[in-house]
Amino acid sequence: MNTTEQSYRQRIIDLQNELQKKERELECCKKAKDQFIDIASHDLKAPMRKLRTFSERLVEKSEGLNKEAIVYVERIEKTAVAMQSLVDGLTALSNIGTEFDFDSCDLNDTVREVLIDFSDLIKKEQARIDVENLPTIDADKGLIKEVFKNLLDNALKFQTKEKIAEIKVSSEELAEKEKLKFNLPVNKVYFQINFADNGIGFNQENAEEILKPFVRLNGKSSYAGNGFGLAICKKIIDMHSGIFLATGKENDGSVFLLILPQIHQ
Amino acid sequence: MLILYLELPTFKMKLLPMKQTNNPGRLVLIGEDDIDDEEILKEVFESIDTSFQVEFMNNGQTIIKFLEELKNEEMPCLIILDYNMPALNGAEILKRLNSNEQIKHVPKIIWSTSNAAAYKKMCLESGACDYLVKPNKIKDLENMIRHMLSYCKS
Repeated sequence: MNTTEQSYRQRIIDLQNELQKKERELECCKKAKDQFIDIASHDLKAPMRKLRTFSERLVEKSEGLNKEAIVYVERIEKTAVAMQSLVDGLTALSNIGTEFDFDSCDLNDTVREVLIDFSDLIKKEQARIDVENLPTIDADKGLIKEVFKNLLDNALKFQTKEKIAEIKVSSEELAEKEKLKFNLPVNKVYFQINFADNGIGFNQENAEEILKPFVRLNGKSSYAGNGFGLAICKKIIDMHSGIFLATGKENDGSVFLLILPQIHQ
Repeated sequence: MLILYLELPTFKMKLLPMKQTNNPGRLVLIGEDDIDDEEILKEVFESIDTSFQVEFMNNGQTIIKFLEELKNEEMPCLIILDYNMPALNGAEILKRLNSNEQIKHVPKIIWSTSNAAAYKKMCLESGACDYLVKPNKIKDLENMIRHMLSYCKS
């Protein structure tokens, strides 16, 4: 073995050791994250649950409580519910990616399942929903269903009172020019799923902002929600090596774009 | 020199019930270390069915020791365990209890604040017959307790 070869071999051993060290560090980070999820799901939720239980008990047990006092207790209850919703959103966001299972997934079936889950709300809102033929891709069925659930929930929620909700789900294969624009490999097949609604929309300046956790563009009193739905969608699409984008116009609807590879590698 | 100060967990140790089981076949043993949850459970249990003798213990070791000392005919008809308790968690207590032939057959339920699928899976695999998430509303708690009691063989 000559000196150059020996030095290369040593370099390989050093790099392998370094890799092992980094893997151990990564494992520690994952454990710390899991611990955080545990704390969030238990230690934060327990006091809020008790706050709700005892508020309810206070109203029940205090016969002489005046109307004003009851209103305050109701506000305590609402605040605890909102806080629980935030913690639920945070834990849901953190839990994504701990376990996933890629399989062949017909997106037509996924959307159909979501529409069944939302059938009562769709009927109530008299929403018109048009779904074009969608592709079959490699995906975690449960997680992709979660994306469609969040998008449909948003589309039904962020509506103006004057209009009937119109939602359109369509898809197209991504052209080479588009792949280059998004810095995607041209030899791979990608589909773009468009999820469009005619709701309140948003200012295009906020297109990136709305995909972040905790971000809400509208007042809590006008539209319910915990500000995690789109962040969860983005994380799921990222995990599928895809791209999640939002385009919108104020008072003129939103379109959410899901760019996903046909085959996951 | 490095000096480590270790803070040992302080358990709110309860004495074992002196009376043991004065209502054979109607004893419900509850492992719960949260005093608020204990209070609300006690209240709701009493409002639903006073024929059960409900005993609370706040850590796994006390529960295991208490059950191991009972005669077969004194065994509770149901064991309810909070998942997050000091020293031993619900799944660990389940494993220990299910390794004892006498205690193995008693139905055991885990109840917890967490709705994490991983905990539920772990507890069911460790021998729990149910995993229930602590509810927010008293009405839901009442229904949950009725459901829990349905595991007691009459």
